[in-house]
Amino acid sequence: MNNGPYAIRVSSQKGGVGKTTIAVNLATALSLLNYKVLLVDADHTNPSIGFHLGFDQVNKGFMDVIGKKSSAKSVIITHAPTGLHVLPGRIGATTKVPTPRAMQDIIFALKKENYDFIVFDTAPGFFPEPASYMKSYNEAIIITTPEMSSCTSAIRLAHKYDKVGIKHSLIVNRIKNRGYEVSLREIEESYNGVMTGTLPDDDIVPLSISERIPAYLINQNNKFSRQVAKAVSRYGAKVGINYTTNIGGGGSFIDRLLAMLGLGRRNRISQSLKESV
Amino acid sequence: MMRELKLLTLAAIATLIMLAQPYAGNSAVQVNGSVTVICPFNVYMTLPSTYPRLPSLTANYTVYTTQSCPVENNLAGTFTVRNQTSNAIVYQEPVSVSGNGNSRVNSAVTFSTSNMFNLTYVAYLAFSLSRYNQSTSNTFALVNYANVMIQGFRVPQSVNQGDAITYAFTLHNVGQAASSAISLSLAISGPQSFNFAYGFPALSPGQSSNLSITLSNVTGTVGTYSVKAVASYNSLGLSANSIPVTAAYSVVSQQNFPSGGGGGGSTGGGAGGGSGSALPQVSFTYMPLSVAGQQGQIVQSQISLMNTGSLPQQINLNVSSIYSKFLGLSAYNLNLLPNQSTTVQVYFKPNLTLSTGVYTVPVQISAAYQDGQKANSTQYLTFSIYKQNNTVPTVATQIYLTNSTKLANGVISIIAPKNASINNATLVQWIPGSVAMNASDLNFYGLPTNITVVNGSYKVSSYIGNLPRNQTLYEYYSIRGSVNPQLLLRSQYSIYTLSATQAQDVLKVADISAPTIVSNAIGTITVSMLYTGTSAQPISFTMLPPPQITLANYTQNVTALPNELLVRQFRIIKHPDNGTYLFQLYIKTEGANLSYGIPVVITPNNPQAPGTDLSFLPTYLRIIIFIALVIVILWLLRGRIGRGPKYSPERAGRLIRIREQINRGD
Repeated sequence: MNNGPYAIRVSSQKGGVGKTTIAVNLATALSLLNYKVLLVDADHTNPSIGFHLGFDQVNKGFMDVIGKKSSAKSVIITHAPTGLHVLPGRIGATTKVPTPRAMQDIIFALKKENYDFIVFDTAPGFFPEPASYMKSYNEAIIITTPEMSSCTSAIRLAHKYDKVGIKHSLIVNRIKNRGYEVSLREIEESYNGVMTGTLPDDDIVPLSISERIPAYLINQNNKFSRQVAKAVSRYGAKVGINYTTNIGGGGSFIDRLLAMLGLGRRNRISQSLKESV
Repeated sequence: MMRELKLLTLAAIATLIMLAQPYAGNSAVQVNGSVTVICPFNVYMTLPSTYPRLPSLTANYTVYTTQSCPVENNLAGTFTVRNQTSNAIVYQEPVSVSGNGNSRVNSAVTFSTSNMFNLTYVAYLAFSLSRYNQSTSNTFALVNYANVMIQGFRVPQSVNQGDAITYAFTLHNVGQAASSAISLSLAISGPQSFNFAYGFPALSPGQSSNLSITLSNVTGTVGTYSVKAVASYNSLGLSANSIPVTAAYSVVSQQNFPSGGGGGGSTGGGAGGGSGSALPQVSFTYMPLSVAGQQGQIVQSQISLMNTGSLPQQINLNVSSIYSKFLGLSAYNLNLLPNQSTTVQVYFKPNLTLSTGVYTVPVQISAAYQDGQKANSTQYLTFSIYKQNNTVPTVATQIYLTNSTKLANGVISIIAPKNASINNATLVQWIPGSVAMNASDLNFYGLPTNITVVNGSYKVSSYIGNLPRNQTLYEYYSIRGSVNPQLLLRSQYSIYTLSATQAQDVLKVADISAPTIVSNAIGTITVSMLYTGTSAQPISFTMLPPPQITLANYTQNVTALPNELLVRQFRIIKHPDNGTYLFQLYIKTEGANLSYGIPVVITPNNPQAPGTDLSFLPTYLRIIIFIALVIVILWLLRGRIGRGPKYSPERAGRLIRIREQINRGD
């Protein structure tokens, strides 16, 4: 049974860690799993979902809805290749920070619509926002990269979420698997939440932005998309509808065998996912 | 060691479990506390590969059992349509069937296309009962209907009376589906009206055909005419008409004769023809009704008469002097005994200055009988003079009546233009229906002919394969028991040519790979081709090798979807030891085809060739080379081994301390 839209805030304290990329691809993966998904470009400072989906020339956007110049319904666009509904950002819109009240109103309004998930791509940072507004979200995803300053920012953001009482999870992005990176174990030990995804630094991402097609749609079987599929696989229980897919979820025969025996290399993330769900 | 053994044992057990799973999932019997027996069933769906994009469409499906038991009641399933490219669902609805004791249930699901575009989709139908699942899927493309247009309709502004007229145009299917049963109707209105219809081959999407229709015997009367052309066709079950195109032209008189010279077919038809009863006791056993001749050439015909009376007769023939410059008789005065016959030769000799056109020439005949009585009659001969055209073919006819006009014979001459040959043309003759009682009375010889009745007229279609330029082809006919043979003068003739259809550019060869083959190995030719059509279509690949070579697969048939890259491989399994051999590749689909010549080089295997085998080296040298290679590989991999991030307790502790600082800071 669907208990209303599940609102996810994709966020980071630091800019340039891949929030929009992850928001777009998570939303795409959920949509291709048959969920009804609304993707909101709530980044008032630098709206960029349009560059990922080809909506960079819209006349009305999120800030127009915030400013009550347009209704959300009149601004929402359907992205035909993915079936996503998108509330885009307008590049020329004001960069004034929306008031918490306005944000809360729009989240409540959108949550009345018939969606399974609403994914908000937000501006970097954490503004002095009251708990009442933040609690409009069902969950926040913190994005970080495996380097010290980014991890520190993620810890700081996690602390703020804890303070306002919003559930959060962590996705580590742009993993190059180099010696100078902070290891996943270190991140897991220092982060007091659930790590739900580890995404590799993959050439498909810049390619997808260049082609204006979500990476998940270009190739659902590369490393990046498989990790995206893994990250979204836990969301069925959130909305009470479980659609299944074999995309990206299977892995090789050896992977499946090891996973069955509890000896697999995916063990760490699987374990985290189990706990979080 | 023990850990590895344990791991292997567990792996073996897990493999057995996984192998067993599929059978458990498809089992007809499910054990779940109690035993539920389900009659095994299967399902298939029938969908056309191409659909018109209507607001709603219907897919038919059948659920049937695979054993002798009925389909379960209230069998529930789901019908889903997905975008083939994005996999996004564009339509979904639950479906259900009930066997009601039957082992086969036919049903249908109607689905909306409101969320669909002109793309390729996959329809899935899945039924499940308990843990027993069956599903099927079909791929289909949504397209717009065919849209046949008549483009570039060209008609001369004016044409001389009696001359042939040529209409040229292009039939183009600008729609997304194939069009079939194409029929073109021409309606000519003016002083005289004519209606013609022609059938044409199917046109694939984007395909076009250039057409040229030359009509003879439709310019007999001077005046202004209008011609309207409409193509009707069928597309995906829908009948449609093209937008009509019209053009106007004038038929002008060029004749330099006074009265009696003009008139054309209709005048000649009304007055012409020998009449056996015009002169008592004289029978015209052979009388030309219509003769055609080219400027500068002599055409010979004849008039045969018979004295059917019991007394001798004197018969005089006379042609007015104004016609004598192009018509002459071999005799003007005849004496005939009872039952005697004679023949008078008629020479038509139009000189180059005589204008083209249709002339009705009166021949006065008088008979003086021995009993002193006299009788007069005028016979009219229709004479068509044409000028051989440089670019369009000409049709000339000779019509003769025999046995007191009950039997009509004719010769049709098809004259190729001076500067062009005729290829794959069709001669269509439109003969008035009143000429004969039924189609079986019409007999044509000389060309493959088909006779049908269209709108009360006989439509006689004859195929002309090839006629070199400036050459003439003859077709002969006879009409038995002709009711009103004079109406033959009103027959119209048209030659239409359908140029080679322009191959639609839907097949694009992206790559052909034919590597050099060594004599003791087999080889593969790989062909990559992009199909850019708008609907799913079958495509055949045929590779023909030279006689010395054998392929494992000569012909491959595949159904291509729009914008699909097809990669086909042809394996050479038997070949000579060396040489260069030319293969022929043919790729065909409806409305388009490609052919390629592919040279393949076969070289002899040379075991002494340096670099191919190191067996000629001493063993120690081979070991040294192997070790050197391993060192090089390890050196290349040096940066990749062990370069991943390492767990650093110091760094982890630092992060934890930062977290604590942040927590304390608030």
